Amino acid sequence: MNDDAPLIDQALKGDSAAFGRLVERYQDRLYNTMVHVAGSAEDARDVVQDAFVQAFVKLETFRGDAAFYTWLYRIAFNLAASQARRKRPSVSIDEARQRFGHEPMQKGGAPEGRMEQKERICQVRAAMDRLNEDHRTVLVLREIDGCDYETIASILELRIGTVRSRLFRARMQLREELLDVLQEDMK
Amino acid sequence: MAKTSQDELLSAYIDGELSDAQRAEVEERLAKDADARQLVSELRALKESVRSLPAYRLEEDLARRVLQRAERAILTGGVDDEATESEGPPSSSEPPKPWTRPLLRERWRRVYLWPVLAVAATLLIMFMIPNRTARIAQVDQKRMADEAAQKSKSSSTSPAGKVAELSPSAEPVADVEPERFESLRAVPENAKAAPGIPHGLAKQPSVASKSDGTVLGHRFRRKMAGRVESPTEGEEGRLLEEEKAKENFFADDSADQVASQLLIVRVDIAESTIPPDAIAALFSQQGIAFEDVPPQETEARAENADNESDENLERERAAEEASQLGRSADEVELVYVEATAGQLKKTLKALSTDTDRFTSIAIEPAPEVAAQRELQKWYMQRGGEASHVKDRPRGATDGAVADAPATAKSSRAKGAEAEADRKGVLGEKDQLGRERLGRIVASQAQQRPTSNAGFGGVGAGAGVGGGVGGPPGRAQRLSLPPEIKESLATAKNRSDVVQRLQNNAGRNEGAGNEKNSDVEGLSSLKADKVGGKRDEKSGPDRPHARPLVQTLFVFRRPAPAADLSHETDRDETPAKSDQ
Repeated sequence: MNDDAPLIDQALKGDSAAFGRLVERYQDRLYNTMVHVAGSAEDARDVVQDAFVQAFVKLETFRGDAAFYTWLYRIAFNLAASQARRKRPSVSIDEARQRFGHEPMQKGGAPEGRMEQKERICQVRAAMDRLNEDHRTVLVLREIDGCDYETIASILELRIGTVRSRLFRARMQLREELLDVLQEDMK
Repeated sequence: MAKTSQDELLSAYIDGELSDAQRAEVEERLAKDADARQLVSELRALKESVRSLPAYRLEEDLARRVLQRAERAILTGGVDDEATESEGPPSSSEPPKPWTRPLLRERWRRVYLWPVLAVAATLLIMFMIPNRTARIAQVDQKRMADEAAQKSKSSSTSPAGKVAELSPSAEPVADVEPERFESLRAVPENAKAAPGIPHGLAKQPSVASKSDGTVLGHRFRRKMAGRVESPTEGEEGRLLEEEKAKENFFADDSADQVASQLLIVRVDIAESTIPPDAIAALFSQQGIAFEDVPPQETEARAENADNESDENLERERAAEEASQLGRSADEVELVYVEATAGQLKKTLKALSTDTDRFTSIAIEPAPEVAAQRELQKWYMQRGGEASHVKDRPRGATDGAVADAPATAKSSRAKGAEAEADRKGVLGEKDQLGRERLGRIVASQAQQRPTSNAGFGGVGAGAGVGGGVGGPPGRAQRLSLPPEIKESLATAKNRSDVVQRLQNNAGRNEGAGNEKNSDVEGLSSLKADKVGGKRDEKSGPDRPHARPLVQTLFVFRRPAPAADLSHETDRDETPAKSDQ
């Protein structure tokens, strides 16, 4: 985002508040992505926070040839991968939601359809959780965060072809698991 | 083309990620292949299902915490929790990377170290025993005394007359808690009411006229006269090295500008855990020489007081007030310190880690001095750690931390206002005390023995500018009225205080008063930061002016339940949760 450049410059000149504004700008977006990647709200929060801290400390290494959030996401995904290796006991999203009060933002829906919608959400989440990490990461960046292939490739340091194939495999696995649901939707 | 590859194109097709040629190819297939059309429909439905998942958002402002941690990471030489390189493959086994990149060093220097180390500091450390009843009465009488003193100033220049005018202000605070802080009090046990003290002062042994030639000298006890070897191990040594390395950044006008401010630090102390010389030891262990003014020297100064000019009368009056403070030393103790940023940091570290004795710490920087805010931030980062120590109350430290990093000024103001509001009548004390602080501190400083080292008599290396044998740093036990100390704790306009202090120092310099060379040391703080003028005065054996930081610490002690009501306790003990 072009608006990031002045804030980055200010932060590099010592205005930490400018970096604070960058945090405010991206914290929810990154967190929403990381909830699905890290597997729990708690882990996602840690990853997001750590990512911003690293970004601040390493800000002078940001060359500006990519978007700030791309660079930030790269840090975050590296941290998430590192965290996953540590196999820290995690808390499920629903459990974390109850524990930390992180209520997801509802995207609407009539009250009478809430139960059905909730069930659908649970099915989709469960299917996504069963994806392997590489596939899930690409899928989340594409569908949750709305990144294009090039951005995903930049964040994950992959070739675009790899992004496309991983995304296809992720979708095909999800399709298998959610076939009944999808066909019902298509009726 | 294999079917999988063709289907992969369908997936990319719904994402709009195909070239024109590929899209044409897919559309041609879709026109002919029902299965392909079915798959595309399913993939689109799937896409919609995933996209319709509820969005999560953080229910907190992450910026403050991120900035705290990031600055701490820079301070400690690396990202604290994660060793992962952002632009390389993650590796959880890597140790935190040392802070070695010049760019990062430069940023740190620019943001933190330079301004922090550029400031000269005064530490005023106070220990209070909260007692609402006594303090309310004292405020009322202090206010009366102030008004009376103003009248006295216009009608009489006699110090004795001024004392007589001031005397109604004396409130027998010591009577309320005579044994409290016995070990910390600045007033000696043998201080008694001086003959001729008007009614109202009879119970105030420390209040006396200067003409008796003894009172001021009895206000202080020498706790420590020598320097203690500064710690050399680990981080402390590193801090000193950093200071030394950054000294060339001090020769700047902005350093002079920020040097004229006090930083206030408030510390709650645990009850009955502070041995008599704990405060002296606290500073001396950080290489800060600690002293009390010897009685005989203040006596001599008092004898000469009658010959001082009208300009000094106000300071004399402040001395009298300071002597009144002595009687309230049961409640209050104050230590005036000039030390380097590194020494301050070490002091803060010692305070924050000694959770048995010091239960909470808050730093209140002067509003316009960014360097002090940065020092505050530095401490708060450590305070955050300390708050996790078992049994350590999450008190003023965390409260001060709460809003400070990005908006330290507003946080400070809010904290001060909240405290003033919480204490009610103390808000009135605030203004009263603030107006007198400069005079009183200068007067107290005036009692310091004459020495080229600024804080004289402590040791050759203890003055402003530092000595040959170690880092600069000096502390002196002072005494202030409780209400003034309260006002320090809720300072809203400290610049006035500092201005008075420096004005006093400036007068002393202009008069060429050799006896006040210690006061001169106050103003010479500025010279230290802009060019090391102090060095010229200090002689060739003091090769380098070491910058000193101005700070103000407020230490409080909880009142015992037997003596104070719960209400008093709530009102007077520092807030643990609402600051």
